[in-house]
Formats: sequence, C-alpha cells, structure tokens
Amino acid sequence: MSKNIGMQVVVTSVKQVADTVKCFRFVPVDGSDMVLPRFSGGSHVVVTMKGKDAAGNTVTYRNPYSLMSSPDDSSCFEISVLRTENSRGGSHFMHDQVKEGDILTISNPVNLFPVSAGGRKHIFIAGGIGITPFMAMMDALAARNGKFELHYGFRSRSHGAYWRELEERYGHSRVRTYCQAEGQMIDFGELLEHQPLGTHLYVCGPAPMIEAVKKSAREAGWPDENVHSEEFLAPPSGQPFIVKLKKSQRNIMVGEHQSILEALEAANVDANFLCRGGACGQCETAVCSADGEIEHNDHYLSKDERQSGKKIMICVSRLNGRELVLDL
Amino acid sequence: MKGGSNHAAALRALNAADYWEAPTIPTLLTRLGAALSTAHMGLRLYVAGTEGFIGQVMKVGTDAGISFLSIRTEHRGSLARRVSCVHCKGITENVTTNPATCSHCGLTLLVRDHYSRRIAAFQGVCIDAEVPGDVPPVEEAFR
Amino acid sequence: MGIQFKDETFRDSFTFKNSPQTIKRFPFPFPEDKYMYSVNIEPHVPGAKGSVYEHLFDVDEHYVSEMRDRALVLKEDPLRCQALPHMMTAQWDLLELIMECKSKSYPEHFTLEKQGDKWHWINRPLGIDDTFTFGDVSTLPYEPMEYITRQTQGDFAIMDQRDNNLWMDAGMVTTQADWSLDFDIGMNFMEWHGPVPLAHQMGVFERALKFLLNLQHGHPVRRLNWTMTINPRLDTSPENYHKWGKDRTEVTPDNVGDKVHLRVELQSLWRLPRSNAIVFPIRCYLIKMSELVTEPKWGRRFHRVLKDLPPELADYKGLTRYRDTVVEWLSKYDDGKPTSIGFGLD
Ligand SMILES: Cc1cc2nc3c(=O)[nH]c(=O)nc-3n(C[C@H](O)[C@H](O)[C@H](O)COP(=O)(O)OP(=O)(O)OC[C@H]3O[C@@H](n4cnc5c(N)ncnc54)[C@H](O)[C@@H]3O)c2cc1C
Ligand code: HEM
Ligand code: FES
Repeated sequence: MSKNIGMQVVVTSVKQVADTVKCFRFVPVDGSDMVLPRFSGGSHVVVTMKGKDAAGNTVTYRNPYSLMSSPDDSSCFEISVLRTENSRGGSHFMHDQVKEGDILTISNPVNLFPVSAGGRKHIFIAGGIGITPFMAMMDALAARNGKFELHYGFRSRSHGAYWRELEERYGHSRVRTYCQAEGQMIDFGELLEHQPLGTHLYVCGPAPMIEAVKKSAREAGWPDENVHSEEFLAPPSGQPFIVKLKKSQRNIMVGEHQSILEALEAANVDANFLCRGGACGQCETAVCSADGEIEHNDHYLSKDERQSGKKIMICVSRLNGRELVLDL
Repeated sequence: MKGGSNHAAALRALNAADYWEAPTIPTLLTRLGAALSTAHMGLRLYVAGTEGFIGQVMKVGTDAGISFLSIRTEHRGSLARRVSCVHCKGITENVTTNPATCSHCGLTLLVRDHYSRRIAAFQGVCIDAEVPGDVPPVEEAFR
Repeated sequence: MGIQFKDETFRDSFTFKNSPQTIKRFPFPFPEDKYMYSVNIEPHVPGAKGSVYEHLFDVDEHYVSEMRDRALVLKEDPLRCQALPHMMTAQWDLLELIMECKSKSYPEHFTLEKQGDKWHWINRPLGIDDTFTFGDVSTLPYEPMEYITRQTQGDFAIMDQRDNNLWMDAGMVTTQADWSLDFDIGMNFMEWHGPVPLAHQMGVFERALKFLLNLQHGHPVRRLNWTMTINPRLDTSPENYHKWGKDRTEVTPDNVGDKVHLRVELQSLWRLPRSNAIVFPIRCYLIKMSELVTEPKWGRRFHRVLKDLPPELADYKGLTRYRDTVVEWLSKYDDGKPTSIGFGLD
C-alpha cells in the first residue's frame, strides 16, 4: 500500500508562466470513471515520468510537485515546474518532452506542509518556485476568510511566476513581492514584528532562505511550533556504490545520479516511499553495515539516529564509500 | 499573589514592563487574558506554581493562540489537584486525597492520573459505582 | 432486497439480539487462542460478500434502533458531540465520505444527488429527505458531523494533524467503552491513550502514531479492538458509570449466556482530503455469550483467551469482577480440541 503510484491523468495544457517555469494541467483520462480527489493546501503529488537518458536507455523519474490549483476545484490538478540547471532529467523531461495530450501517472496527494488549522493568522514566505504550495493554501484560506499575508521574492520580474495575478487577486495589503534585480529584499526581522499571538509562519524556497527565516524567527522569540518550512530537496548525486540486500541476497549498483530508492525500483525491489524528499519517514531502512560514510540528506532522522548509523532514508541519503548492507 | 510574599519589593525593583499583584487567581487570569489579547508573537509565557494554577494559566495562554508546547512551566508548592467530575462536570479545587468527594454532586471520586489541558483538571470517576458504599480508605495522595 | 431493520432497545428492557445471519457475520477478533496488544493495522479494503467488511461503512439490522439510542443519549447529554471551531472543513469531509460510501453501497436505502454544491440526501430507513448546500452550515439542521453521524452506526473521532501529532478535536461518542469525549477532546494521541496499560512500554503507540501521520487519502486502514459489556448497553460511558457500574455485579452462572456480551470495535482510519484531518470511526458490534458459542471455534477460543488474559488488561477493561464466572461458563464449550490459526471457521 505504500506504493503510492496512483492514477493516470492527461495533460490538457502546458503553459510557460515565467522564464524557466512551466505550468501543467492534468485531468482524469477520458472515459475512466476516476474523479480527482480533493486535497488540502500544501499537498504534493509524485509524478512518474518515463524518459530516455543520453545513451537512449529508458529511465524512470519520480519527482514530487506541489499542487497549486484550487483545492476546491476537483476538475483538474495543476503543478508548476522549474527547469533546474543541473537536472538529472526529471524537470528537463517535464519541460522538453511533456506536451498536451500526453498521459502521466501521478500519486494521490500527500500533505507534508499543511496550514495549521487553529492558527489565527498565516504568513507565507516564498522564494522562487517555492511559491507553489502557497497558491493552494491561500486559495483555501481565502475561501474561509482566513487571515494571511504572502511575501514573495524572486530573481527578476520575468523569472518570478504568478506574482502579477497574486497581487491582483489578493491585493497589495496581502501580497508583497520582492524583486532581487530591482534591489528589493525581504526584511525578515521587520516582517516578524507586531504579529498577533497565534500567528504561524511558513517558508518554502532555497535552503539558505529557509535558514535565514528560521534564524530571524528564533531571534524574535517565535516558538518553533509556529514556524513551518518545506525545502524542495532533490536527491543529491555523488559517487556510485553497491547496495547489498541482506534478506533477499541481492547486490544492486547505485549510480552517481540515482538515489538508492531509484536504484531499488529499477531492479524491481519493492520499497516504501511517500515524499521522495526526505521528509515523511516512510522509506526509513535499517542499515546492517556500511563500508564508508553515510551521507544523511533527509529532514527526518534525529541527530542521535544519524550518529547511530543504524538507519538511512533511502530516498535522499547515500553512501560515500563502497558498500552498504541494508536489512531488506 | 498578595500575602506571604516578602519578595514583592524585590520583584517590583526589577522594572518589568508590567508588574501586578493579583488578589486572587481568578482576577489574575482575567487580567492575563486581557494582556494576551493584544500581545504579539515573541511574547513567551512562563508559569510557576501549583499544578492547578499552571493548568489554568496554560488555558488562558492557549485560548489566546499560544501553542502549549511553547509554554514553559515549573511546578512549585503543593501537589493538590483540580479535579473534574466526569459525571456532573463540576470542578473541585485543591484536592489532596484519593478518593475525594465531588464538591458539586457529592459522589465519591477516584482521582485518576488522566489530565485534560482544556479543562485544566484531572479526571474524577465514581469509585463505588459497582458496589455502592464499597469505598477504600481515604489517603492523603497529593500534598 | 434491503436489510430488515429490527425494533429493539439497548437500555431498560434490553431487547437487543442478533439474528442467525448476523451472528454468522460477527467480526470475531481473535486470530489465535491468546491476546495481547499489537499494532494490528491492515488496509481497509472491501471484504467477503455478506461480511461486515463487504462495505466500507457497514449497515446492519440494528441500524434504526442504534440511531434511536444515540438520539436518546444526545438528548440527556449534548456534550457527547463536540467539535472545536477549526474542524469545520473536516466535518464536511466526513459528511461527504459517508454519504458517498453509503449511497454507493446501499442504493436501496440511501441516495445522494449532487448538482454543484446543491446536494440532495435521502435516508429511507430513517425517513430523511434533505436538500442542502455543501459548505453552508445554515442549510443543515445540525453541524455536518452531527448531522451525518446521527445517521451512521458507530462512534466517530476526528483528529487534526499538527506538530507531528494527532489531536482529537472533534467527535460523536455515544457507544463507547468507557471513555469520555468531553474530557479527551483537545488531547493528542499519546495523551488520550494515557490510561491504556502495557501498550506504551511495548512501543505500540509510538509505531501506530508514526504510521498514522503518513496515512494517505484513498488508503484507509482498520483494526479490531474488543472488550466485554454486561447487558447489551451501547452507552457504557464514564459519565453514566455510576448508573451502569452495578450491572457488573449481577453476573451469575445462570445468566452469563444472555447477560454477558463480547463487544468488538471495528475501527477504521481515513485521511480526509480537504482538511488533511483523520477520521476514526469506531463501529461497535455486540454478541451474547449464548450467540457466540453457536460457533464452536469461537466458544473454544474465547474461553482460552479470557482465561489467560493478562490481569492488567482484564482490570483495564473492567472484566475482573465477573471474569471467573464467564470463564467457568465458557469451559463447557471448550472440549480442548485444537483451533486453527486465523479468523476462518473450523
Ligand atoms: C515535497 C516537494 C514538493 C516539490 N514541489 C515542487 C514544485 O512545485 N515545483 C518544482 O519545480 N519543484 C518542486 N519540487 C522539487 C522537484 O521534486 C525536483 O526535485 C526538481 O524538479 C528537480 O528535479 P530534476 O529531476 O530535474 O533534478 P534532479 O536531478 O533531481 O536535481 C535537482 C538538483 O540537484 C542538483 N544536482 C543534480 N545533479 C547534480 C550533479 N551531477 N552535480 C551536482 N548537483 C547536481 C542540482 O542543483 C539540481 O538543480 C518539490 C520537491 C519536494 C520534496
Ligand atoms: C487515531 C485514532 C485513535 C483514537 C481516536 C483512539 C482512541 C482511543 C481511546 C479514547 C481509547 C480509550 C483510552 C481510555 O481508557 O481512556 C483507546 C484505547 C486503545 N487504543 Fe486507541 N485510538 C486511536 C488509534 C489507535 C491505534 C491506531 C491503535 C493501534 C495499536 C490503538 C490502540 C489502542 C489500544 C490497544 C487501546 C486499549 C483498548 C482496550 O484494551 O480496550 N488506538 N483508543
Ligand atoms: S520517501 Fe519520504 S523520507 Fe524518504
């Protein structure tokens, strides 16, 4: 049941919404009696893509993308994808290969970045493509008269997606944009001042931005319970290594641009996953031994668990070494 | 609170943004609620006192939107419990014995370790429901 | 061909009993001859035809009478149904889930017609025919959770998910095994499970919580829990314990068969889509000892389970006062033959 691979959808529109961002709209495949489930703001789906690598071999990519369409609209799902520079293929595949009429497989929505239901007010801080989860969150909050503000920074007016429509829809009192090319910067310290008790803060963007916001919040005396973040973590690549599966007695090679999870899937080994981004905990796997050093890239394991060397999150973490023996 | 506090002068001398000596717990809670209603993020709540007192202050704090996980508390003084009678829902203050009598409906209550933050009280359940009158000896349990 | 609903009581005259077909489908909860807590969670997928798992929300012959009993409980004590203000979206999610499931499973009894957000709901067994606007509370006679759970067997708790925990922030609880929604509302997973013995030390709750935090929409799960109840009383609440507690002293060797009931809770867990909350329906099935022993494997097995139940569990479940009497009575139905592992009948 953890094989959250889900449903087939048709791409009904592909739009360039900023220099390096495309928006994709999905609807259920014609003639199927499937209806898209409702979802909550902050949810993502995992998109499965079958592409070809440089050598012409078929490869499967599975990337999580936040749903940015209105949670109240069950006729379609929309995601927006940034074309990343050093892509191993996933975002390039979405940009270069996917066209209207194509069929893709997506998972059921999963929410690892929900709006705190009891919050009195919500402040969203977005950097670049980090805007996507907030689009759905704001839509849902606006529908029930929730209080929120968005502070949205991007590199240039042409790089930033959706800022114009967001300003128009919610007004300048709720949406502030900050264009780096025009020298505008978000002053986190100032924005955290004078917020009423019960305010929650959400940040999604590049790692340094998340760190800066968390630091400012701590300095301003905000409790951790009121600060939420989501980083679009992609599995970092590194040196190839061997994974040995103790129970099933198999050896599998993990390539330099592959995660352990991807390597297992390519070898038809059933493994649990949900977020594929080191956040949900589903892919936690027991380590029997490691000839080398484990690089923990997740947000899930505690410091102690990492130091113990007994557990690894196989969706994002790797071995810097020769061989990793897993209890699988 | 007033009475028994010879620390008042020293505390006042600390020049807190707001310092107030409340005559009773209810007046203190009312004033705290008012102060919190206009407070901003960055304000943190610290409570020291008996369990019943901490519970009531926490409730004012959480009602004002503060996550209880962020409230720091330190127990001082008696272990007397506030007890909520599960039958009539009445609260009995300063319970030091187990079993104890509900000050509202009069049932003899077993005071359980089950605690509700929302009610700021431990749960009291009729101890002789199965055989009325079959009540174990009263013990000083929470001093 | 619909279900024949019975007219019976769960208080005072206690006329509840199971028809032979309903005995056959009883969800007997013991896969082996002993019992201990475990993380017994499995996917909640439709099961065998005629079984309680055939439909994801089971409706049986006791439906109409159970709903009448619920209305009586609520009349005496409105605090049995409560929802904190931030749970309104989850309440609508629940209403949709139940209406969709029941109208698909039992079209002869329930009908849901939707035109945009104008919904038309017909519940024939209870004689309800309402049109309302989905999302607009003022168009329903009650808030959505109360409205739909007054028409659905079983108790309901709805959990908000935040700070890596689940918070019981809404519920309808009138057929419970001795716990209080009014006291527990607002607590988190570990807090409301506080009174349960042994399971915390065994790591049961830690693992169950981790699992639930990742529960996915569209992949509900279920588990069985059990206890025993004297007389077919649905409302064994702590609120009324001083009224029903003495029932436990009235068990004698002569009345075990009719008075003592095994009470099984079929609990399911569902991620709700709009709110990201989790709903926990707790469906209670009662069976008299005399009905239970009509199935030889059940009689043998329950005798062994009850005889060897750890004392902590027996105390917690409130069985201690009458356990020996029931074990003695059940021993007549245990010929010592081996039983097969699992739920299948011998
Ligand atoms: C919960 C969640 C939600 C997300 N939502 C969105 C969304 O709404 N929109 C969106 O655009 N993205 C989103 N992402 C990110 C997305 O899933 C992908 O990670 C992203 O599209 C990049 O995928 P890719 O396959 O093109 O690149 P990947 O190959 O996965 O690489 C991503 C990054 O890794 C680095 N990298 C890759 N190869 C190398 C190398 N050889 N050497 C050094 N560095 C390298 C680069 O910095 C590159 O930009 C989300 C992620 C998560 C976890
Ligand atoms: C999230 C939904 C759940 C809710 C709302 C819930 C609620 C409760 C409540 C109110 C009690 C009674 C506690 C008391 O004595 O006051 C209880 C008991 C218990 N729960 Fe849960 N529970 C949930 C999920 C689970 C899960 C997933 C497990 C899995 C292991 C579990 C295991 C138990 C056990 C073993 C008991 C003791 C039961 C007995 O012996 O009769 N619960 N639960
Ligand atoms: S799949 Fe979520 S942490 Fe690995």
